[in-house]
Amino acid sequence: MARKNTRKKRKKQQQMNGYIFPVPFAGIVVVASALALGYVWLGCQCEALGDEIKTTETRGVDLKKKLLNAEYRWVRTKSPQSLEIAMQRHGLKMDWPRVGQVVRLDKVARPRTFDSRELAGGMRIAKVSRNVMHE
Amino acid sequence: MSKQVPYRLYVSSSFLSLAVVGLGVRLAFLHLGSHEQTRARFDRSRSYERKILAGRGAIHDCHGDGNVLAMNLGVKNICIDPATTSKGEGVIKTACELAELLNVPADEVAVRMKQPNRRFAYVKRFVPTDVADEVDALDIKGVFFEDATIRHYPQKAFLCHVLGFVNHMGTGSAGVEQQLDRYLRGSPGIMEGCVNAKRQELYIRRGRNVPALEGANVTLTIDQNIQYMVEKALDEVMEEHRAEGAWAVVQRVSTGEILALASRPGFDLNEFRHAPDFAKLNRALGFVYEPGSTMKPAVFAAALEEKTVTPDTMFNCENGAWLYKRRILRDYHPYSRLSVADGLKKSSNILTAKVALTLGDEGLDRYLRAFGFGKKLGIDLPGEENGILHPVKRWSGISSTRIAIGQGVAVTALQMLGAMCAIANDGFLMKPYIVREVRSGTGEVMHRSEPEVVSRPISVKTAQTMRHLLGRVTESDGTGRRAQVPGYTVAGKTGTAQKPVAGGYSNSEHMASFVGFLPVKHPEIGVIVVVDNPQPIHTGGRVAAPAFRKIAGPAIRYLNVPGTESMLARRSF
Repeated sequence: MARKNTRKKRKKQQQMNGYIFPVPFAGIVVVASALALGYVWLGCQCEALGDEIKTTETRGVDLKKKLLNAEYRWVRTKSPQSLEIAMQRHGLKMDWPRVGQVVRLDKVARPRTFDSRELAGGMRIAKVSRNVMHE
Repeated sequence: MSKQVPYRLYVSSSFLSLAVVGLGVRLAFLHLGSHEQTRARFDRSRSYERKILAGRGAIHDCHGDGNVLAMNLGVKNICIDPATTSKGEGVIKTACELAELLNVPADEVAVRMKQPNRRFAYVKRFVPTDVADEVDALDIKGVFFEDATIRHYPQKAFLCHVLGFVNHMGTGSAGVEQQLDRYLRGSPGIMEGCVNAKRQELYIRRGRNVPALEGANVTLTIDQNIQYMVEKALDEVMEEHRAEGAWAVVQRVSTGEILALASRPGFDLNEFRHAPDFAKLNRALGFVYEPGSTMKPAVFAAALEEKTVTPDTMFNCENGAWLYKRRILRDYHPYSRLSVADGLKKSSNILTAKVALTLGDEGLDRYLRAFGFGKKLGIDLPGEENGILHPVKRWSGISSTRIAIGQGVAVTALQMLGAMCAIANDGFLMKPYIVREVRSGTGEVMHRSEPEVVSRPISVKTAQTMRHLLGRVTESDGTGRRAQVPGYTVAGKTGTAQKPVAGGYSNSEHMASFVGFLPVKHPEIGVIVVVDNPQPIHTGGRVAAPAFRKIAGPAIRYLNVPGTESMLARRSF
């Protein structure tokens, strides 16, 4: 009988003041919701990054194939046979200079380090004397 | 009415309860029971395991990355859905367009396109991407593409016997591809993960991911420019002399590095399945022949080393015919008396036989073996032959006189060149090698070849004397005068050998060869050219020596070796 009265009292009080949501419970709900949303957001981020990685991987494979194909074309273009055919097509004929036409620089005559400014000066290399080898 | 309502309520409630109970039971059944098979089946349907194929390593010439000789190439398979292609009109026209682009018979393409009951057929496999793009531009309904990778040799038949090829299982089956298969093939990787309902991979559920270990890259000692000179010279000699075959090797004297190695006939490496077996044979190291007079330098060097003769020792050359142990030995040109030096220059058989006799059978055998005859030199290529040099106990009374002139003994071109390079290299016989280094995909050196001495048959002094004597062979009155290279001194020896046939030697079939090195004073490269059965001219001096000049001349210039007339500039202060 006493419990019935208490329930009635609470109902009456609720009707008078409106429903009161307990603050700690509300906090738990908010935190849980935030965590859930965070989890979902992180999940989405991971998935997006995963997709990006997969796309990059695919692109990497494609680029590798393209590189190989470009390398193939380059190799074909600069092979000795292709060069000779190209020269023939343009009516060019190249030959080695006669051995006597070639002037070699010995180690003393050669600049110690290659320096374009030194070469631009030009005088050091120009001052050479001719010696016939193996005579 | 009031009676009907509870009836419907009871029926629907009982169905709903039944469904809920059923689901509950099933849930409990799945969760509480140990249904490993079901679980495994479910996991299997969602998981995948993919093998990541490792790319085969590339093969480069001595200049490294720039000059690729063998590589993997991304290609496309041109496929069709015959059920779609057979529907449209103008199948024949489309087939003709495809056939023209892909270089396949149009009727075959048309037959494949007109199969309404099939959903898949290849039009052509392994098509270059640029051609596939042209096909794509035609925008034909029912045509689609499949990605594929093939082993490709950009220069086709170039260096075919050295590079070798890879069979349909992806295993190297000849040449460097076979020899270094363990390095080139790499190791496949593995990837495990899960897929969604659309069978798309879920990256976040990716499990084991072991990347493939790419095959190592191989750098050869071959220089593609010298190789091209050699192949061009061989093609010319084959055409000019209607030869059955021709082969040549260029070796760096001081190290044993092979700068070029070619054999004819050749074959397109990309179409190796259609090449005849005789074309696939690398004759430079897999074909033994009787060398003829090119054997003589080894005999003279041995006699000089043993001091049984000197360059000035005179021998009676019997006016071109010498009866020894009831068998006649003849010279190509008759001579009465010749010095050892002139005997080599004139290539006298009788004088060489007499020089060999001064060594004795054991002595000759010992020196020839020290020069590398009768056994493999150990080049890093498959298919090298031993050659034939019988043990002394099997020699007859005249064997030494015949072996000395290159009969009754068989060699490979590589052995003959090795012996000549030993003379050029102060007596050191170097092991020939063709692989400079092997580098992993990350750049780590996995193998590097170093020069290796096999033996030292003669001393520096003898080698110097021999270089001088061999240099006289290419003088204007020597047998090898056609091997002269302008601006350089050349040492070498011609060889013309009759081919052995049943019961003797053929009078119509010959092996013409020239082996030499240059420059004489400071030898840089050794070259051998062998021509199988040239017609109608068949002498080494007229067939092989000019080919030698065509190879050695540009090669020595290309290698920037100073010649006899080179000008040396010095600083004048």
